[in-house]
Amino acid sequence: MGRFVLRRLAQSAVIVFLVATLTFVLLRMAPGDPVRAQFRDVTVSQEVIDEYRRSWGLDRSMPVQYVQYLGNLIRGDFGQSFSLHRPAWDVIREALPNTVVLALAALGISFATGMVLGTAQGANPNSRMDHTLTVITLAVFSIPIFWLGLMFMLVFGQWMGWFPIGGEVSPVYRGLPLVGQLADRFRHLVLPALTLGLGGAAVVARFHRAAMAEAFAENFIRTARAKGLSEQTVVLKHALRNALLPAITMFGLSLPVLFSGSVLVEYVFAWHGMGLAAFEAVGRRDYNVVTAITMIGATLVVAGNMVADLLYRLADPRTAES
Amino acid sequence: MTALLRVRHLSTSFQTEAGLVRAVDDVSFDLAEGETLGLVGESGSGKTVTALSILRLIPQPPGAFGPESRIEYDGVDLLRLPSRELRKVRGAQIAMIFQEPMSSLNPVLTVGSQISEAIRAHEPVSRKEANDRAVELLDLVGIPEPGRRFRDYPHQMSGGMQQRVMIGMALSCRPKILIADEPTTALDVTIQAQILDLLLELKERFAMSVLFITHDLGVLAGVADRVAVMYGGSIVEQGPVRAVFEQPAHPYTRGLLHAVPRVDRPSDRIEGIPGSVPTATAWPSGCRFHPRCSECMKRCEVDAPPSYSAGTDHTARCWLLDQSEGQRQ
Repeated sequence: MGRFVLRRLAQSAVIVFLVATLTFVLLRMAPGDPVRAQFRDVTVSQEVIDEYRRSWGLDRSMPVQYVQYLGNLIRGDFGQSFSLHRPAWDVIREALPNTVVLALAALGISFATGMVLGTAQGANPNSRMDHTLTVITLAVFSIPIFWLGLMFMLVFGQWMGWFPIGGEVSPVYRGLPLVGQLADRFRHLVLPALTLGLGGAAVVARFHRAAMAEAFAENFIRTARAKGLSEQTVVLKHALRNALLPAITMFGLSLPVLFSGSVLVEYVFAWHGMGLAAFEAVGRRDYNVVTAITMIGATLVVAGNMVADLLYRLADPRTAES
Repeated sequence: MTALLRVRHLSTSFQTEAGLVRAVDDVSFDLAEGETLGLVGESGSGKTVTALSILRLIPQPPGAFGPESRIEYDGVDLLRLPSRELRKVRGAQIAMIFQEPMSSLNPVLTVGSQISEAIRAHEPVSRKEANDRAVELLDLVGIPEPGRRFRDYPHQMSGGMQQRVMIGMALSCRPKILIADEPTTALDVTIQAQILDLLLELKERFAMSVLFITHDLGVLAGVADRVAVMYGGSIVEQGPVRAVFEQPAHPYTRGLLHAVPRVDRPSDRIEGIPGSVPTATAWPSGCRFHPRCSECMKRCEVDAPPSYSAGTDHTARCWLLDQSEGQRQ
């Protein structure tokens, strides 16, 4: 186990290094000048532009920039944001908690709903309930996420007035007592979390249904029934444990996607997370912020995969020894 | 001897895309207390479906039982028992072991926990007590170091060991009847003999009745008291093991016996039965064996033969046994 973790850590370091290099190259290959992108609406003289370029270190040769860039990354220094005139790390520090809250809520909705639906369907394949749920999950899966978000805003925000339609907190947030503050945050979280989580729930349900149906066809299910176990024990203990592996794989894959932020949902709901920050930084050619977000994303991807691999070993004794 | 299990007119069919598959058709037999009944036949003859039907382990749908079908255990029809009540019979009164021990054990649970959960499903004992009994059972079925092996996962054991675990699990609640569905088929020859010996020993010790299913007549000779021969979803001959082996009344049984290789009778080649087992979607008309039968008559192609007596407690479904005037051609 220890050797496995060490080997995976070494692989992860290589991957993160490659992502850093690729980010550097791609950003500088992209059209658009970072300095001019900051002055889109005003005309500035060439001297001012040259001055900015010098102070941001963009006047040096590419190899020199690359070496400095790697040196800064190793020290954990992401540099200054071009557009916001403050450390890029500060941008991350504000955006990441919002994204984490949204991602955890969406993950919870995806997996709780998806696993329950998939288990019910897989345990009763080809039943009326199975067919109905198949139609519903496929329909939800096919809905574009931004449209679903807009519909939620319209129905539950505008018409019903149950939930706010954007942002993380109300303008009056600071004046509220602690319980009120939590309730306010929760109310703001509901619609974006549902929008982001439901699509995932449909995917999880589809995959988990297949995994459950496969587990149910196994001989050991017949053995469990022949022992006189209740159907509940057969489903929850014997079939579910064996059907967990695909779910864990999906979990590992969706973890980084959600944590690096969903641009569409964050944009639609004005949710100040990593996705929205990345979207704005790319538009402004804000190299340092884009780099910081990419590096956090890459780290989360490899960490997510490692967590999934470790869970895999816990769930399946057969992989634990190899 | 009184019959502990009475199977009457059992018909089990499956609705498939290829049509209705009548896997088992009008099967009747008794299993007496302390008796071993051998159920023999080729692959696809309906042996396993018969065995699974007894504990209703056939998924419904697509499976369904015919309206005449009855499976009486202790005077109760298992086919009409509510599932709650049926669960009390499964494992506790009638237990079952299967052909492939590897796939019949749950790969992600320890073998010990799979045995103790069978005990706890039927008896109000603590987890600790059930675990202790599971270790005793592992010892009983001949697993060395049972205390340590309790925590093994199935993949850490050999096929023979896995089948021993299955046997231990089946015996955990001291059932009256053990259904063994080809328990040695998937094992090496030397291991087969060990498992058979173990089954015989435990059968005596626990005074169980055994329904022993196999495609291997040679195995049955040393194990069974009575034999039922299945072909095409129905029982074509049944009787005491000696009578069936020495005076087989059905041409199919004779064919099967010829197909068993023997060391005491020099022969150049083993004689098989020409043709192959028909599929359950399209049974032949009349006697289902007629296309492969060397003694086939005109009426065999048209009418299915009823059951005729072929001796004491010995019956066969074959027109050759029909004694009435002018019927034989």
